[in-house]
Amino acid sequence: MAGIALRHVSVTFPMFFAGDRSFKRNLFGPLLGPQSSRHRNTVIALDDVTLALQGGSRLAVLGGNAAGKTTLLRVLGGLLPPSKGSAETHGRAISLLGTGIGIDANFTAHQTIIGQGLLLGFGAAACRQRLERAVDFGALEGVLDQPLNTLSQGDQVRLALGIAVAYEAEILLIDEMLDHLQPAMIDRLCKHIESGMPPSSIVVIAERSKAFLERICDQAVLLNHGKLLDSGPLAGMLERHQTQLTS
Amino acid sequence: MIRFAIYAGLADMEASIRRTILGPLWSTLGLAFLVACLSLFFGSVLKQVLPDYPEYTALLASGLIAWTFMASCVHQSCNLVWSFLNTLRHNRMTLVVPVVRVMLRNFVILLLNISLALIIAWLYFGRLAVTPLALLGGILLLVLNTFWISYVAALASARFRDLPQLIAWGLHLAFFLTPILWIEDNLPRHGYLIDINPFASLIALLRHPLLGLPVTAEIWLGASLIGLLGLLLARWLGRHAAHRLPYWL
Repeated sequence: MAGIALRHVSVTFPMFFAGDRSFKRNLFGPLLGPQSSRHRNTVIALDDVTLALQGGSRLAVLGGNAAGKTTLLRVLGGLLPPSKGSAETHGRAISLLGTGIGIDANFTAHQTIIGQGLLLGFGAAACRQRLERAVDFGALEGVLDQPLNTLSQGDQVRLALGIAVAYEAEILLIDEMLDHLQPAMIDRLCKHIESGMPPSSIVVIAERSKAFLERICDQAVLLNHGKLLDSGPLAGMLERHQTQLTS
Repeated sequence: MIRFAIYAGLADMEASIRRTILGPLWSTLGLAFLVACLSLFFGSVLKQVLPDYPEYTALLASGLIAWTFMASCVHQSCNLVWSFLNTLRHNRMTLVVPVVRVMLRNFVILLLNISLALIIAWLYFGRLAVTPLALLGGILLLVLNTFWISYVAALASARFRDLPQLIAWGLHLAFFLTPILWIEDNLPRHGYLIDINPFASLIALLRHPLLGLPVTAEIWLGASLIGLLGLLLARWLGRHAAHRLPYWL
C-alpha cells in the first residue's frame, strides 16, 4: 500500500547570485574580503510541514501564489530532499508538474514513454507492452513519432497522463496542468482516478479548478508562505478559506 | 536507471546518424584528418626529432584517440546538468545516469576510432602489433577513470557555473603537457613532468597495447591507483554533496 510521511519538513533554497556560483570566488573568498558573501540569501519554500498520507488519500493542496504547493509536491514525489526533517515515500510516484514530463526535448513521444518506464524500473519488454495503453489513454496516435519539442503543451500533458496511467502510478501528483486539457480529457482523467486507480493509491492535486478538486479530493491542506496553516475535509476548507483562496 | 542510460545513449547515437550518410564516422574521419594534418606539421615543418614518419603518425593517432574520448566525456559532462535539466528536475535519478549516457555515446565513437586505426595500420604495414588482452584491460581502466573524472566534473559544474570554462582551460593545458603531440623521449631533462602527469598513464593504457608496446607495471599500477582514489572521491561526493543537486538546478 502506498504511503507518504513528512516529519517537520523544511525546504530552504539558497539564492545564488553570480559570485556565489563562482568556483574562483568561493576558492579565493577569504582573500577577497567581506564582499564575497554579501549576496548570500535563502528562500524558505516549506516551513516545518508535517503530513501523513495513507493509501486511498485524495488530497487537494490549496494556497495562493508562492505558497509552497509545487515544492510540497516535489518533496512528496521524492524529487526534492528536504533541507530539514524527513520525507518517506512508499509506492511508485509519478509527478506531473506543469507540462514538464522530464526526459529530453529531442526524444519522440514514443521514446519518452519507453524511457519513463525504464526510469520507473520496468523492463524493456514491459515498457513496450504498456506503450499501447499510454497511447490509447493520451490519444497520442498522431504524435507518437514527433520529438517533444515539437508537441503542443496539450499534447505534452496528454503524454504525461498516458505515462502515469500506463505505468500504474501508486502515488499521482498533479500540479497546475489541467489548463492545457480539453474537458473530455479532464473527464477521462477523473474517471480513471475514480475507478481505474487502485483504492490503495494516493492522489495529490494542486489545481485552481474548484470543480475538479471537489470531484476528486475529499481532504485538503492549506499552505501560506511555506507553512501548513490548516487541514481537514475539502468542503469545510474551501468554505473556511474562501476569501484567502480567491484573493 | 542504467537501463535508461543505455536506452538514452543509443537514442542519442540514433539521432546523430539520422539523415546522415556517414553518421558517427564523421567524428572518426575528423580525427583522421587531424592526425594527418598534425603529423605533417610536426613531422615536416617543425622538423622535430622524431622516429620515422609512420611510427610518429601511429603514436599521434593512438594518443589522440584516447584523449578525444576522455576530453569529450569530461567536457560534455561539465554541461550535462544544463543539457538534461528537464530530466533531472522531473525524475528521481542520480547524476550517474546522464554521465553514463554521455560516456556511452562517446564509447561507441572510441570503438569506431580504434577499429578504423587498426584497419589503416593493417593496410599500411600489412600486420597488426596490437596486444588484445592488454588493450581490453587498458580500455576498461580508461573508461573507469574517465567515469569518475566526468562524474566529479559534472557535479562540481552543477554547483559552480564557471567550472566548465576552467575545466576546458585545464584540459587544453593538459593536452599540451601530456605526450600526445610530442614524444616522451624528447623530454630528457624533465622526465618527472611525465611521471607526475596522471593523463600520461591514462593515454599509455590505450596507446601501448595498440602499438604493441609493453604496458609496464608502473602504468597499470598508476592508472589503477588513480582510478581507485578517484572512485572513492566520487563516492564520497555522491554521499555528501549529490543530494544538494536539486537545489542547484
